[in-house]
Amino acid sequence: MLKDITLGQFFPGTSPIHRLDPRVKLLLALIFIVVLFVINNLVAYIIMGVLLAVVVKISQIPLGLVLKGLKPIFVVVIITAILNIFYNTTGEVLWEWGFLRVTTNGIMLGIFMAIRIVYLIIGVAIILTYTTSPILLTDAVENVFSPFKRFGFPAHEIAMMMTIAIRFIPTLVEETEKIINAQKARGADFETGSILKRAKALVPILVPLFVSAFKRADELAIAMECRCYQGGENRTRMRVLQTSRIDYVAIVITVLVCAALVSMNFMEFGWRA
Amino acid sequence: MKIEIQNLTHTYGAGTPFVKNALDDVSITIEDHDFIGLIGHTGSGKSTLVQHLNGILKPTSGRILIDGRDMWDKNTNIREVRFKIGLVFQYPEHQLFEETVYRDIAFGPTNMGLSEEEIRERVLSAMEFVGLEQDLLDKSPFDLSGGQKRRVAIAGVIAMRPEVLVLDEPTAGLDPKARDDLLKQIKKYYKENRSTVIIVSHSMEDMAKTVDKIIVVKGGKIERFLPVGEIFADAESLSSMSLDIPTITKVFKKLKDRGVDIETNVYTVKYAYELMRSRLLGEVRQDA
Ligand SMILES: Nc1ncnc2c1ncn2[C@@H]1O[C@H](COP(=O)(O)OP(=O)(O)OP(=O)(O)O)[C@@H](O)[C@H]1O
Ligand SMILES: [Mg+2]
Repeated sequence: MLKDITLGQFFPGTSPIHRLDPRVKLLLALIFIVVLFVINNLVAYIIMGVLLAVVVKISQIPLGLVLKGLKPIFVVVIITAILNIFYNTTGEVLWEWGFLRVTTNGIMLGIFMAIRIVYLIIGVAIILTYTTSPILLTDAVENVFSPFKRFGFPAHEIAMMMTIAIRFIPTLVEETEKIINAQKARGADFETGSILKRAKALVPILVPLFVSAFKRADELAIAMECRCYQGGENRTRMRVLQTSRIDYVAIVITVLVCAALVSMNFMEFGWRA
Repeated sequence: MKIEIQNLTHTYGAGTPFVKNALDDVSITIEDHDFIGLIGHTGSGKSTLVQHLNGILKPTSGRILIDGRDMWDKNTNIREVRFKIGLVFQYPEHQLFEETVYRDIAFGPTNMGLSEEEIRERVLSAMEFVGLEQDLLDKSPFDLSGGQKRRVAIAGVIAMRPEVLVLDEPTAGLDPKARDDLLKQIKKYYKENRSTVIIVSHSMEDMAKTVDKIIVVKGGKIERFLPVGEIFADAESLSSMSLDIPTITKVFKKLKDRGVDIETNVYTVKYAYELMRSRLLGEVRQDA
């Protein structure tokens, strides 16, 4: 059951998307997010959806995994869409009851918001994290923020903490599952009884989990000390990030497509909100 | 209690890029009052197999019958099954959570809904069983040594008095003395309670002197299921599964290879001693 959390996981592969420089991917993701919220034209959104599908196809992520990643946010999407429908009350009124009013523009906005969230998850949480190893991703974060080191911004330390945190998510999930099983073997019952009883039933899981998490943190710190680990100054890397032709191609394509999509905002066609 | 495993297959991570067939069409019958050693290389599927015995894992396909009844039948209460088939996990000391040793060992019996006196009696006898001093009763389990923690965790399952006791690598990481003591205690539990006991282990040497039958698992399949006496007959194929045969067995095989007319079915030092003694005495007598 805990294993169903696929969001934020990495799936190794050799597709062109996997091979992009992580800094470039980060940059493109940023552009993508901005454009996603700037465009206001249904045709543009449809085009964007098709392009996202193409990128998913190129990245060789199985469609089933994309859907599985979207499942947990389904409720959020629906609620956001409904709230937005009632939020915008301009345009032709379709239905009215008390202070609630559904208008054409409201429906449009609801649809747009739903599309934006779904695209955001597909673009960032799925394409970016599924195709980029967490190590590369944090390397990229460090690299992008390192100019701010001059002003005392701890880029290296933050990247290191991210790496460690991400690294230990699967370990903790595995550990939790093991502890749950061990307590089940002693007849622990997590599924029946009142809320209070169920909350109490969590104690046999949480205590060992915290104990082992702290112990792990301690051991890791000691192991790092033993190898004379020290912050970012003058550290060299085993893998130096490098941009290549494929990165420039990706940047050019993305910028052109985004410019085209944004320019549709100023054209006189399509449905817009 | 008879446990029949029929065509059991278990797949981890179905539907992700990390699919792993940990068990592949395993069929085996464990009779009442069997004393079994489950041996196999790292990653061969031992833990996966034993976690099916008390319904922690659900078979991907296949069935497990307990006294002829399907464990995953709608009418079977899986918690009842877990009280009857006690499983001590690999590194069980990681599951301790209570404030005192007493309360941690009492967790299982309490879940069974036993009376206060019954629980007390069981906790005390379980502690004695695993060789824990009574003065540890009110200590925090987190203040104990690794070996003591292990004993507390094992006592926590033994206190439930399961009809089938399954231990996943109970001796891993213990010193030789603690290991021998623990194996002896398990053997005693087997004899005194007329229960079924299954021990998972890497060590042929330990198993040879403890259990009656050995199951060898390799790559998610059962390779052998034989009485201890017969398992070492084809030592070569065991070595090819990267399993070691007991050193004493090796010695006798070497002697045989060198032309000494001697029995090779020797797998405990004790038996080897008896054999050599009677032989030497016999030879001495002939010389005289
Ligand atoms: N929770 C899990 N998720 C995915 N794969 C798993 C999981 N548990 C085990 N496996 C895989 O299944 C296979 C069998 O594992 P299992 O733990 O049963 O081996 P084992 O024989 O107990 O090994 P060891 O002697 O190291 O304890 C291994 O290849 C392992 O990688
Ligand atoms: Mg194991």
